[in-house]
Amino acid sequence: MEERELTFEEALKRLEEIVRKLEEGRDTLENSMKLFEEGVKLARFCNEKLDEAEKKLQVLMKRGEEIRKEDIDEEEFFSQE
Amino acid sequence: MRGEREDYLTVSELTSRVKFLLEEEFPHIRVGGEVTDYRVSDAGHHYFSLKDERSQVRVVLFRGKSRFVKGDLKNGNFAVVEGSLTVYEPRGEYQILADAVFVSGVGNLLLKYHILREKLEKEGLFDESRKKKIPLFCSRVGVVTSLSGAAVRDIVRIIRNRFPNTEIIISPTSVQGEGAAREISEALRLMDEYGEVDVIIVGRGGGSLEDLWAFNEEEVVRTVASLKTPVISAVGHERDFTLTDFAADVRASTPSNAAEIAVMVKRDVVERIGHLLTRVVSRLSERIETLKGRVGTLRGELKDPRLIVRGMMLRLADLEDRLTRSSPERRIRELKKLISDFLFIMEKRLADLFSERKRGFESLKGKLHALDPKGILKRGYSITLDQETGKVLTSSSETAPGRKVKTILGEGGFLSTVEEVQK
Repeated sequence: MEERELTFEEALKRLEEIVRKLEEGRDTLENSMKLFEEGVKLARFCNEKLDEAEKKLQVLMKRGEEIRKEDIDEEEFFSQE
Repeated sequence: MRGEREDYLTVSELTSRVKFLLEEEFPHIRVGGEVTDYRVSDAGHHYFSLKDERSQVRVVLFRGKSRFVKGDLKNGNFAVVEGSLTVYEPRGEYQILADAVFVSGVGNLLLKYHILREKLEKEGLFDESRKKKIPLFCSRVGVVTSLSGAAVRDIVRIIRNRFPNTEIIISPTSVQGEGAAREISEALRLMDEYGEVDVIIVGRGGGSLEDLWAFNEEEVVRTVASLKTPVISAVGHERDFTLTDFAADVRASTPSNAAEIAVMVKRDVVERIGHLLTRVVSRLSERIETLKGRVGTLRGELKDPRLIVRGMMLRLADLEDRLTRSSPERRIRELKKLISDFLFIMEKRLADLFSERKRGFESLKGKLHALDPKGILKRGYSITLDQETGKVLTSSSETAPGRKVKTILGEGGFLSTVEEVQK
């Protein structure tokens, strides 16, 4: 894998490509092992990405030149309906 | 007559079916266009057409509804007609049966909408090629809308259901009334400047054309088109098309729909990745099993190394043999040998044949010798001829006493006279 961090899409696309290659089974065992390793890494990476996001509800504000975020209590937020 | 035909419709039948379909499909419509061919009949009904650049439609407003005409109904003015669609059967024409007509001069919102839409369309602001792709996975979603509206709650609720740990950042703004367009634009720019969100949802819940108007303002439309972050627009209901919708990268039919577009169902994605991983693992282990099987078979075929060496030597010898045999010198030598063998055989045959013949000749010569009268004479026999006639005498009756006879011996001969004949 490259040093640059992949996007989620790129990782998923590459993972699908690896599955396809392995299913074709034309590679040498050595290459297949490499692909396998990469595939496992990618799957882990994708899952990490999915969990990386934080459950947060915030409001964006600008004070002068500074952009600030302020947390909102979700329960309170929905109770305002 | 009616019972005899089944392969066509009468004009009335067709018309009444079209009428039924249209009335069913368009029970209530609101149509805006320029008024033309306006007249009031003797009975007091209003007839006119609405037109735009491409089409026209006829409108009827019955006398009883005259009080629902707001504004100055005359040719060239812009009017919005509310009513239902129907077909006037005697002429087979479809027309709008108006319940109300709202007229205004130039400056009308719809007209503004159309003029601005045309202008921005020509500039290429709505071109497909300008549209950015919404990322497959958005971990941070920006929402530009009113904090007090229903839209923002719909969006947050749907995102929490689909992908709970998504970060939602709201850039609040008023969405209608004086100054709303400026506020929306600023909120959009702030979100874009913040730069940490994967996608921006901009919009509001349903309302009248006036309520939604801010999203048709040039400033908002241009701002949406200029953002670096992909934008999903979600203004009003399914039927409402604002200019912001055209400028956005994706138009959602409602705020809830926008949330669905922005965020995947987490379980689905996790399942998909899990499925891919399972395939990776199972394919590789299948591969390894196959290879293991092959290794096993090969191992089974392995024997005593000495046997293998012997086998190899045999194979090598065979190969060498075949190799030398196939060398050109070898071939020539072989051919030469073949020829000389052939010659040898031929010579031998000829010699045999010759000696055989020679032997035959010798025995023949012997036979000939035996037949030669001289040979017989040499062995003591003699021939006697009559001296006078020269005839060989083979019987005593062929001569008589006193006859002269000649006798030939093996060497020389003599003459004599017959004295006596003996029978």
